[in-house]
This record gives sequence, structure tokens and C-alpha cells, in this order.
Amino acid sequence: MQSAISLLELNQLVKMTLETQLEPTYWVVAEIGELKQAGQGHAYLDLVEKQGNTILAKMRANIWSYSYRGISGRFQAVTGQSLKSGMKVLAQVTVTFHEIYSISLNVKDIDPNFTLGERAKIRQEVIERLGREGMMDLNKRLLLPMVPQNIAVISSASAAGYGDFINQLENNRFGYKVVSKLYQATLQGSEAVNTLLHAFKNVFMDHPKDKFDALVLIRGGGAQLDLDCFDDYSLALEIAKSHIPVITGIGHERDETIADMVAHTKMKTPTAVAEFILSGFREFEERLHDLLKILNRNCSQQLNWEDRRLLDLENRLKIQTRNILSRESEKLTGKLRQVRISSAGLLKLEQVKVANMNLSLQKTLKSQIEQQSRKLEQLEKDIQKSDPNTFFQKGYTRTEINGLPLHKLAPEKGQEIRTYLLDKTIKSIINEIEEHGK
Amino acid sequence: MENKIIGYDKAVARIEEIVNLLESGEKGMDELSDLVKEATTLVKICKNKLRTTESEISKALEDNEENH
Repeated sequence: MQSAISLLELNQLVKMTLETQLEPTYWVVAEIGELKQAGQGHAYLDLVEKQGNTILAKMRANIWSYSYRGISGRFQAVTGQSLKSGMKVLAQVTVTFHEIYSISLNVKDIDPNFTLGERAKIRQEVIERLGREGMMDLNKRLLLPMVPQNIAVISSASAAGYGDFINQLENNRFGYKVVSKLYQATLQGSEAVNTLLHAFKNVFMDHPKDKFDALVLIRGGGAQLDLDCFDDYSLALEIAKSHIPVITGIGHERDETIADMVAHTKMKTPTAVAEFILSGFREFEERLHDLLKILNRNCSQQLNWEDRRLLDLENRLKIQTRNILSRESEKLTGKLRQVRISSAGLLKLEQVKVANMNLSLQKTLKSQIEQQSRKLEQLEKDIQKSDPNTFFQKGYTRTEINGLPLHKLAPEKGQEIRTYLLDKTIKSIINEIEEHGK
Repeated sequence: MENKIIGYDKAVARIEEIVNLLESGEKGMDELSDLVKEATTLVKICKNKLRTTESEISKALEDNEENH
């Protein structure tokens, strides 16, 4: 059996063995477990190695304040973020053993480029995974209303960026009204992703009721801060799958975060998001103005056109009416001429008839008068023939007895007869009557 | 006097009557001469009437033509 030694002796043995057997320093790849900063400026941390959630190795470590200032400063300058738990680092360590505090690592240096590359690798993996899953453009396919008037904002009420954003929206010089609802989230640190996811969940819960036009994700801005949460896979997934178009205003100058990549629209700063939203309003209003102008122009054009058309119609109407009137007037004149001609013809015909009648009347009258004249002449002759004077002048006489003509009587002897001559009357007595044969 | 206002047709009829009477030879000398005188007067009247009628009618017809 070995002779017993004291614990101190054992620890001194371990310490000596370690010091003689190990190299003065090692470059170790590990993940930062817990990280605490002590009052004196020293940092105490755990370095772990994990496989999934299983811890394969773990060791305490410290960074003395005179090293820590340099290390963390350079780290932040290169990676844009501070050392924090969960970060994979390449650290130059010395293994130390203390008789009381046992084994620990003293961190001499941390290579920020490793972390940068590591993070880039992880980031690339996340991007590739999202790409494979078809998430990169999912949110971009949503239609962002031109005038997003009702928006959900995920941010921190105390963040300067949020204040700028709200101020910009509310005091816009065009007087546009934008309704925003804030969903609180922590934007840095280990709780950032969880609170962000929680905020997203709340937004989606309210969406059926509030009907958001857009979801704005904005961060504080100002100082260079931790952006790791915006490269988180689960947050990216949430953004991608959102039914509301997501606009980011994470406020950083370096390469865009994965949240920016999957979002519908990426803006550099919260103020830029507000500007973007307002620009939609302005564009819409300008388009309205333009449309109004076009409408106005078209209307007046139309009016002018109609005016001209009416005028044209009026003129045509006038011309047509005049034409019709003159045509009708000509027709009437023609008819009048016809009437005149035919009436003149008729008149002439009637005149001829009347003239003929006149003529025949004249003829008839003449012949009647002639006939009457002839008759009268005949009667005159007859009268002359019967006139006793005619006979008397020729030497004939007329004899009567008692006023009656002798040839109508039977005269007797001794009767007194009266004989008429032209200028004498002879009274005598019948002496003898002789008959002579006739 | 009476004869002057007698109508033409009546006058002619009277003349014809007188001619008939004259031709019948049954009237006495005094009456005969009166009848002849009457007939002659009537003939004169009738002739006159015919002439005036003719000229009146011609005039009327001429007026008629002028009116057309």
C-alpha cells in the first residue's frame, strides 16, 4: 500500500504535473457558457462543448481585467457584437491549477475572426435551410397595401428607434393618419428571440380582429448592438410565414440580417420605415391627384368634344333644315307653276270653249235674227200683197156690198155696190150680172 | 201706243194673224187698211227690236270676250 499524502501534497503534485506536462498555451474551440463580469473588470465564464443539448465537456475560465478590455474591445470591433453566452469562440488558454480553486482556464486571447466565420457559417446554414424550405420569398409574395394605415409594431417602447418611428408617423407634414399598435419585445440579449416570437404570436392573435396592413419590426438604433437574434432561424421562420407583410427597420449598417432577408421589405432604420410607409401614402395621394387631373382633362375634353359635336349637329341640322325648306319651297314653286300652267291650259281651253260657244251663240243668234228678219220680210211682203193699195196702184179695184167683199157674196141686180180705187170710191147699182166661164 | 210695249213673239204672232186675215179676204176695206197699218207698224217694231237685240247681244258677247 502506498504511503498516504496530504490533499495539499496531492494538489501540488497535480499542479506540478500539469505545469510540466502541458504546453504553456492552447488554442481551444469552445462555446461560452455563462459569462459574468466582476466588479474589478475581470470576467468569469464557463467554456463548454456541446453536441446538441448534451454537454460533452465543461471548464471554468477567467479573463483578467487587463486582458479582457483588449479582448472584448477587439472582438466587438471585428464582430460587431460583444462576447456573450452561447457564442462559439477560439480562445488561447493556459491551463491553471490552484490548490484551493482546482483547475481552470485563463483566457489569454480570443480570435474574433473565428467567431465571425463561425457565425457566418451558422448564418449561411440558416439561409440555406430557409431557402430549401422555400421561406426566403414567402413573405415577399404578400401584397403590401399602398396605404398601410393600420400597422402592428414589434419593438421596445423604450427604444429610441421606436420613438423616432412613432414621431415620424404622427407628425408627418402631410397629416396622414397611421394607426399603430405596439407589441413589446426585448431586442437584445439571450431573451430577445423568445420575446420576439412571443410578440409575433400576439400580433397574429390580434390580426383577425385588427386586420393589420403591415407588421413593422424595428430596433433601437444608435449604438452598435447585438444583432444575433435577427439571424435566428425560428424568428426568420415566423417572419416568412406571417400573413402580414413584414417591414424591418433594424437599424444597422453592416450586412443585412436574415430577418431583413425574409421580410417583405427591408429598410435601414426605423425612420426609414416610417418614411417608406408615408411615401406609400404620398404616392397614393399623388396618384389620386394625377387621376383627378386626368379625369378633369378627360372630362373637359369630352365636354369640348360633345360641345363641338352638338355645334356640328346644330349646324348640320340648320343646313339640313334649310335644304329641306328650300327643296320644299322649290317643290311648291314647281307645283304652283304646274298649277298655273295647267290652270292656264284649262282656262285657255275653257276660253276656247266659251269663245266657241260665243261664236256658235253669235251664229245661232245671227241665224235666228236672220230667220226672224226673213220671216218679217216675208210677213211684210205678205202684208204688202194683201194691202189693197198695192192693187189699186196697179189699177185693180175692190168692190163691196154693205162692207163685205163682193167675191164672197152672190150679188143681185139692183144692189148697190161700192168700188174702191186708189184715190176714189165709186158707188153704183148693179144692172146686169153675167156669168163667164172660168 | 199699245203696240210699242208688246213682246216680239206676240207681235210676230199678231202679224201672222193679220196676214192670215188679209189672205182670207173676208175683211172690209176699212178694217183691212187698219190691219195693214197695224201689221206694218208691228213689222217695223219687230225689225227694230231685232236690230237692237242683235247689237245688244253683239255688245254683250264682245264684253264677254273682253272679260276673258
